[in-house]
Amino acid sequence: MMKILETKKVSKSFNGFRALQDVDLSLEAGDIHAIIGPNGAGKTTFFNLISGVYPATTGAVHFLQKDITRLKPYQISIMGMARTFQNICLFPGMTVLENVMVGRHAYNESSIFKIFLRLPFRKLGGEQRILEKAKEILDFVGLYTQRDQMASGLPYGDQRRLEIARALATEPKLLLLDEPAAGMNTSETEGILELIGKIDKMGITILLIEHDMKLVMGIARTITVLNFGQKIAEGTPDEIQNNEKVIEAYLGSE
Amino acid sequence: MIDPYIESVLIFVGINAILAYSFFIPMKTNQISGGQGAFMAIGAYFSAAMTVNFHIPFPVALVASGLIAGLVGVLVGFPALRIRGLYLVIMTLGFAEVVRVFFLTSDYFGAAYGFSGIQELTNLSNVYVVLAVSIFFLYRLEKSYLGRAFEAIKENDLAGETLGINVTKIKVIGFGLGAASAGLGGALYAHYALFIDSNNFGFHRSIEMVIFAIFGGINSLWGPVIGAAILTVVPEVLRFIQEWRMIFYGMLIVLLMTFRPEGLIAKHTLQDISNLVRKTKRDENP
Repeated sequence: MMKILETKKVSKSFNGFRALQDVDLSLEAGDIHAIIGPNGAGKTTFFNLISGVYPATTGAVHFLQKDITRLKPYQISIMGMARTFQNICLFPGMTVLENVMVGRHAYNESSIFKIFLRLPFRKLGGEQRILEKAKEILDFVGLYTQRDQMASGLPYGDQRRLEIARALATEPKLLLLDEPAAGMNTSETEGILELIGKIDKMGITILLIEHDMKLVMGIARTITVLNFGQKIAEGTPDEIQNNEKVIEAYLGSE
Repeated sequence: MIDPYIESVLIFVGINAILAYSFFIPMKTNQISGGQGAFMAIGAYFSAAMTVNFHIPFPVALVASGLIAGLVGVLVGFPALRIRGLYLVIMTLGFAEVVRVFFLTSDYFGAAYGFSGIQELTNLSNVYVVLAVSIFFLYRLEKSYLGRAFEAIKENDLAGETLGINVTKIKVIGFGLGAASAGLGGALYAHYALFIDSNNFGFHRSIEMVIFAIFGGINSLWGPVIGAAILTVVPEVLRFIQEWRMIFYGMLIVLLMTFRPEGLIAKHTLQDISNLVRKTKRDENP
């Protein structure tokens, strides 16, 4: 199996506070891998490091066998990594459809000069394809009928769905989901589970952070546990559930 | 023939609209500039030097001064990337002062005596051609992937960046286009005022552009034109109340910002109006 993502002893310090320490993680292509851990364990920091939001203090991140440690988020996105955010980061003033179309940015087929200097009444190349693809993705996540609504007007669960749709629009090979079911009720959570299953079937590797243990144990094939910025365990859901250190981290010792 | 007084008001409406766009375009990428007067000065002085000293045809000088101002905008745009909000306002304001004092001390551009002897080459038609072309380009921009990228950056630049948008590049494009617009406005202004000095392009001028754009509304393509038109015409219409007119002008801005902070034309105002008109028509002839 190909390693799609590998982190080699990545650490991140914020003004001396070590949010992550020497985390090694290696992710097989096609896996659904979950990162779990108590609050403040460094899970979101880890996502921010691999997606390029901020650089690692030490260590290296490899994606598709290439060193991406110093690359910017947009470069990593173009390579095929997409993500969602724990605190939803949609473009609230744009419609649902426009949000997804932004995800097709890198698939535009015309230079800035073409935008201004093409002949009047001639469509911009690629714009129609961007629109079609965006509609297709909205249909895939089940938001097609809401496409002309403002993103801010969507119910909470649908906003998370839209964020996933927008990430899928970049046609990622690896999708990072930061608490995709946070704040959702049971039926919404089930919907997200189903969606993740569909994305998995498309052959997209999924790395997710989740607090909902039932969700994690039900869907993840492998799990990494972080605590106080360090990796304390790694394995299948069964192994993790019976791991002493994990139980201790969650429930406290003694 | 059109009355010369009305013609001059209309020319200033057009120039001010072009200047209002120079604030509006960087604002679309969340960059608030308080120093667009600098780019206007660059456009004004360079175009004047080209037509007066080198006898370059006005259309060429006009385009060239837009390009020069745009290029300077790109250069200023890079350091501006690291700065946000109010800090960017102060930074651009400082830059504008540097540019103003440069023209104040540069002997080539007339220094403190100003630049005189400029021919009257700006007229109603070339002002409105430039304005129409600007609006046409901006309309195309809004309807393209670049327009979506502008809006995405304005709403959430981090999310935009993780979706493959090179935020640096887009912001520099926005700043450069805004500067180019100010350069065009400056060139048109210089060839209508016929005499320019550095005081024409100070703090007051930069803020005026901000007010035109904000008054009209910065979320609609038509906002800056409407804002510039109203705020250029109102002081003229109010000439009969003499010195009181600027108080009235100020009050107008205070009132609008209090009751309609999004500006006269909000994002969907024109859409709403056209829907309303269509609906009324439908009701009349069922």
